[in-house]
Amino acid sequence: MITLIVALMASVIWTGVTAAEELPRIYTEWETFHEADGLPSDKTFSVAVDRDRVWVGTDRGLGLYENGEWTTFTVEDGLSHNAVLSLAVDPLTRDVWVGTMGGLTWISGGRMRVFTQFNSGLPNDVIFGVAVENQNVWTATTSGQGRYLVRKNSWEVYTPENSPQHEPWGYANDYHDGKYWAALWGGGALEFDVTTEQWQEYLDPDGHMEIALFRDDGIIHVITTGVSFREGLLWVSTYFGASSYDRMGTRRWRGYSDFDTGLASDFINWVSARGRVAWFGTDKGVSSVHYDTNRWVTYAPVNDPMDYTGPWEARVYQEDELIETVPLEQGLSNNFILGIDFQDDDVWVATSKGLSRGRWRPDMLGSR
Amino acid sequence: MSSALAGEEAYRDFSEGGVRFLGPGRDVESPDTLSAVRLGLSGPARGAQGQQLRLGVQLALDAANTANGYGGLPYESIFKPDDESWSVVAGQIVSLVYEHEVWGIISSLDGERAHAAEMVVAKLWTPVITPGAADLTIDFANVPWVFRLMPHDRLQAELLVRAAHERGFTRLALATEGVREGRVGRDRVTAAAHALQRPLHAHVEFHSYDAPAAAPRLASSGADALLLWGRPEAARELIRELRRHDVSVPVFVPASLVGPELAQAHASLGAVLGAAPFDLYADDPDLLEFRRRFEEAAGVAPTHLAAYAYDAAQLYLAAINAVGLNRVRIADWLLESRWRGVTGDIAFNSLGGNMQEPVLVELRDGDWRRP
Repeated sequence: MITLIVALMASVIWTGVTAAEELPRIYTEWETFHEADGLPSDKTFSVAVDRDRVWVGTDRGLGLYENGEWTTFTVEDGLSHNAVLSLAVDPLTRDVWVGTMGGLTWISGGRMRVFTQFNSGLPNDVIFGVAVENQNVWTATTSGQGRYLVRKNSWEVYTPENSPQHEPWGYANDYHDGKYWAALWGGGALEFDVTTEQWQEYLDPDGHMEIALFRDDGIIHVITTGVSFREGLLWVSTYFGASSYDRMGTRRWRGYSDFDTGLASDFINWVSARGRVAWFGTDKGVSSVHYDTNRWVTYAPVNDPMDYTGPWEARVYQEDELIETVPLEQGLSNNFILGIDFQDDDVWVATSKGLSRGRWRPDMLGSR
Repeated sequence: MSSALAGEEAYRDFSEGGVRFLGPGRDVESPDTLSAVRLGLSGPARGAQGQQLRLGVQLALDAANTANGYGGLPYESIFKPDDESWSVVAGQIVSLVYEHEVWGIISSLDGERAHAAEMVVAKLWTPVITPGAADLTIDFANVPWVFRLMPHDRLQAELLVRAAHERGFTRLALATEGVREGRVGRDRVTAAAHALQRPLHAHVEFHSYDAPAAAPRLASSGADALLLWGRPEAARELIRELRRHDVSVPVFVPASLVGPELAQAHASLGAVLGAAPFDLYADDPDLLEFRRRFEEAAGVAPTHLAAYAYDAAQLYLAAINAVGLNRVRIADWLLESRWRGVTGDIAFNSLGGNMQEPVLVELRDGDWRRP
């Protein structure tokens, strides 16, 4: 059942600036979707917004939410595998690229075409990340980065043999503003400039997997789980914290850990940026941070991190100082977060037990 | 802080930063429609090691089935061969979970295969025990579903460097095969030598096809001992080539080489010492009984790998008996368990690494024995 709940307003100290004007925003209204609402499965791996449509990858099929209705696609409809790990939408054609645990599926004009490592140049059938770059589509796999040139119907494959990858294991990817990025399991972050066709790798500069010698010297850990690039800022997630890199500006790195920021947890499955705000999906909830202000908003269960059916709250931090707590009448569907995307002012969150949608309600916060 | 990194004050030390899985699933009841309880097994189909792996697992399952299985349900292992390339492992893990609905997986004899498995089960939430992979980086992926049994490669490197120096060898050369295992080994030995303040005398990288070219370079290096990291066949050929060049220096090898490939060629290899994961000939009643049963069933003596495979299966059987058929609870049980196996005491740290120390052995008449 879909639930729409308006949050309780907490009594807060007036700071002179309305919360509605500040970033990251505080989402006080959350809506949840489960199997009973039409979702293919409660375990959602990924979510991708296409204007008024929302595509959701689950462990038992692909879901489409449109006009308030859910539609499910499975292997019986032509999907390459029912476990849908990754999704990308072509903003021009509205074609959908579906990365599964058994190949890549291209949905175009109501038809599905399947690519596997046996019928195409796809490097591996288990596709952890998919990203659209102009007329090309990138896949992040355990056997390297695959680039499908749609107009030529041909593949390019990049591995440590022909690009500077410390390890070939792609775990996530992103494309924006002329740069393709991959999060490599053991290989940090990998950059490909589409114009110059130059590669650049970013590793943990201290060279030790067991430690981070300095906080702000580079990627906090070389086994990376997510990557997002917006407004010249690179965001990288790991299971030991996060990092940012001002790629087009100061070229400075920053490290983020749960003990010195408002980050919900160092165990981060996913990162997505919108503007200069990054959203992290962790095992203890969702966190968002504005790069320029280091202001954080974290959504998490109030008590035990796994008590997702209990009360939730939004915690506002300035760096590591908790400055405000907003109780939520309805929390997210689970604390273990696997994917995030944005729809206008709203945010969609794929959790391991349902899908959640944060509705932006500035009127609720501005009234304080 | 690890000993290899001692002296550096770091912003973060991840050694104790392992996590417990915080996702859902612990409340899911055991299904009541099963015809068997399946464990997944991924490893080589060919060669002595593959046979040892499968037999070790089967020995444990046979004993459990003789004792009525799991509440009357038989235990089965589903085997997936990974001889050709480590890249097949990801798809195999998917198949084991989705098609065969296994409750736990025993997989990976090296770091490449272990990482490929690790990436998949981080999404699919099924435990993996690695019986033969010693790569410390497996732990530092921080995936709460993966458990490494063999003592990690940094401990092995430290043991070997220390042992060489204790025997009076001061000019240590390192030879690494030009594959990932060799590259990781180079890093481990270099770090160990640095930590022990015993700088390496020389380093030579070789490939499986160019042992004849690498041997003269090592012979002319002036080293009085050699540390060797690579795959068994390539390592064996390099040692033979060194002996042909009248290089008689002792060779120190990691646990991945303390196996039948070098043992069977002992007559042509000269002095070889290794970092064994445990003493296969220890006077331990459980180990002796395992050796007896294995030889009776297989007609050959078990290797370290067979014993780890047996213990891995035993761990799953104990976990399932304790918590039922629930993958999250099985992983929880593994993380918290203190288990006495035929390979010794097994206890996993927060990163899923077994806190076991390697032991020094030497190749003597075709066996790996304590000096």
